[in-house]
Amino acid sequence: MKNFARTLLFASGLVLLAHYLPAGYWLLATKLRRPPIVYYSCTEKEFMFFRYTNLTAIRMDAHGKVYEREEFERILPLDHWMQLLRDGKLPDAIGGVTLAPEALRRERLSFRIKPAMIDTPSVNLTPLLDADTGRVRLEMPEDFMRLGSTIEFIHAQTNVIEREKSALYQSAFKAAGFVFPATVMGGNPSTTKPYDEGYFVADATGATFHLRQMRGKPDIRRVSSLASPEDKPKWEALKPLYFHVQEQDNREVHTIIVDKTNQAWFVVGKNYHLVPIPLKNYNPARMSLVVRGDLINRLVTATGDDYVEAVVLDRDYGLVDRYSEPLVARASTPAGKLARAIFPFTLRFEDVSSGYLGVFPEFGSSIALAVNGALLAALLAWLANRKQLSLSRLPEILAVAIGGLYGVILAILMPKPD
Amino acid sequence: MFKSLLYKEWIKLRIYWLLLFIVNLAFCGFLCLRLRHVFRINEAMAVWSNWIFKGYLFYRICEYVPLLLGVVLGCLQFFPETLSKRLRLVLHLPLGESRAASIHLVAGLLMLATVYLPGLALIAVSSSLYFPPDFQANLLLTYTPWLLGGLAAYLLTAFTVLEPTWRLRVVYLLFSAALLRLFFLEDFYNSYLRIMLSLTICTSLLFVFPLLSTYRFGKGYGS
Repeated sequence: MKNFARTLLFASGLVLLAHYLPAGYWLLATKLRRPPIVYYSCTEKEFMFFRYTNLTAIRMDAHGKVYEREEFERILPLDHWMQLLRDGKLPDAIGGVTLAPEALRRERLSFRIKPAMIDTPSVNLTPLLDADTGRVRLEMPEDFMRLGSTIEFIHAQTNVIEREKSALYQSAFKAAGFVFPATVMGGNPSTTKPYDEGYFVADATGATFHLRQMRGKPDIRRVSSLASPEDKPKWEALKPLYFHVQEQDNREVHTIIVDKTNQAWFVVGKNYHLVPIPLKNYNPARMSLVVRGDLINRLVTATGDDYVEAVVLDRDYGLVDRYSEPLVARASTPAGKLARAIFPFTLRFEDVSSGYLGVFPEFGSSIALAVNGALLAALLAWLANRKQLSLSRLPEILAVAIGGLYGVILAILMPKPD
Repeated sequence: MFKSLLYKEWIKLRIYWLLLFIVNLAFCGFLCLRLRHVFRINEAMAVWSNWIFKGYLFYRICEYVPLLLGVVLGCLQFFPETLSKRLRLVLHLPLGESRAASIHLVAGLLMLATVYLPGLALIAVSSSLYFPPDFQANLLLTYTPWLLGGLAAYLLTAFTVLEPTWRLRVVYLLFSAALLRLFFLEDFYNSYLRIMLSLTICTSLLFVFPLLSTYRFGKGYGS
C-alpha cells in the first residue's frame, strides 16, 4: 500500500506541477501579443492593418507603409464614417455609391463567432419570441421551449408544461417533415434587436429548418424547400454544426452556419441563398470568425493563435480579394521556446476551444527531453553513489524520467522510502 | 472490530456531526428562502434566463461549504488523535494499521456524506417548485465537483494532520491547496461534465494518502 500511495503522490504532484509551474512562468513572461485587426480600404482597394507592438499600436498597409490616424481614417471611410462626418470629411460617394448616414448605419454588419460558442454547456430551454406580435417592440414570452425528442413549452411562472401549445407545435413540426430529435439549434433569445429571426434547427437527419412564432402560431419550414433550385442540393447535403443568429438592421443575413466539414456559410435573402465563405484554413475549434460589413463590402476575418486569414466579398458575395498571414504563436516566441525547453509537458484544464473543462496537454521540445535524460542520469548516479538505488526509489526515478524538473522538485519535497 | 471502531468514531464525533449537520441544513434552508424571495421580487422568465444564459445559480454561494465542512471534520477527527499520540493505540490493534486507519476514514466519509446529502436534497426539492426538471440535472452536475471537493478536503486534511513531521505537513498543505483548487474552476454550469468521471476516480484515489501518513506515524517518524 505504501508504495502505491507514494507512486500516486508523485503522479499527483506531476499533474499539479505541470499545471501550476508553467502558469506561474507565463504570469511573469507574458507580453502583449495581439493579432492584427484587418481592414479593407474601398478607396485604395487593398488591405489595411492595425498592428500591436509591445509599446504602441500602428496603422499600416500591406506594403508596410505607416499611416497617421487621420490618414488611416480617410482611406477607410466606411469604417470611420461617424468621425469623418463629424469632421466634415466624409465623401459624398465612393464608386458611385452615395454615402448617406442612414444607409451607412443600416448597412453595417457585425458578427463574431468564437470557438467556445460552438462547444459550450447549455440547457435545452429557450424562449421562442413572437416575431409578429403587432407591437413596436419585441417582448419576452411567458414560456420556454424545450426542443429535444419532442417539443414542449413550459410556463415559467407556474413551472407547468403547456399541453395545448406543445401539441400545436408538435403537429406543426410533423407536418413540416421534422424528424425528432433536434440535433443543433441556434437563435438569439433577446429582445434588444431590430426584429426576431427565430431559430434555425437541424433535425435527426441533419436537415435544416427555420422556426418562428408568428402571432402565437408556429411557423416552421424546411429551408431546402424555400431555397432556389440551384441551392437545394447544397441545403440537402449540408450537415450543420453551429447556427449563429444575430439580427442586423438590414435583415440581409438570416444566419451564419458552420458545418461539420469546418466550412462557414452565409444564409442570405428571401431564398435562403447559401453562400460559402471562401476561407482556406478556417478551423472553428481554434479560430475566431469576425464578419464586418458596410455599404460596399463584407470583410470576413478568421484569427487563430498562429494564423490570420481574411477575405473581402462584394455586396453580391463575390470574392474581391483575400489575405493571409502567419502569426508568431506563443510557443514560437523566445519565452515560449524557453518554456518548451524547461517544461517537458504542460497541463491546462481550460482552453479557448471549449466552454467545458478538460485536460489540454502541451508537450515540450526535444531540449526538454534531453534535460529529462540528463536529470535522470544525475539522479541514478546520485542514488548509486549513496547505495540507495532500489525498487523503492522507482517513483522518484519515473517522476524525473517523465517530468524532468517537476520530478526533481518532487524527489526533494516528497517523503523518502524507508 | 469494524463496527466497534465505527461506533467509537461515532461516539467521539456525534456532537460535532450534529453541529455540522445543523449548520449545513440551516445554510441550505437559507438558500431555499432566498430562492423563494428571488421568485417573489422578479419575473420567473428573468430568473430562468439568468440561469440558462448567464449561468447565474442561486446556490453558488455555498460552493465552498462542503470544502469547509470537510476540513473541519478532518481536523476534529484527527487532531486529538495525533496531539496526544492516541493513534498509536489504534495502530496496535490486531486489525493492522491500514485497515484500522481505513475504518476511521470510512467513518468520517459516512458522516460527511450524511451532512451533505440532506442539504442537497433540500435545495433540489425546493428548486423543483420553481424550476423544470432540467434544473435538477443541472444542479447535480454543478454541485458534484463541490461535493467531491469536500470529500477530497476531508481526505487531504487527514493526510496532512496525520503526517508526523512538520516539514511534510507544510508540503502536504501546499499540495492540498493546489489540488483542491482544481475542484473549483467552474465559472458556468456543467463545466465539469466531460471530466466528472475522472474527477470522481481521482477523488477516490486520495483515500490512500492518509494511509501513507498513518504508516509513517506508526513507524515513529518525527518523534
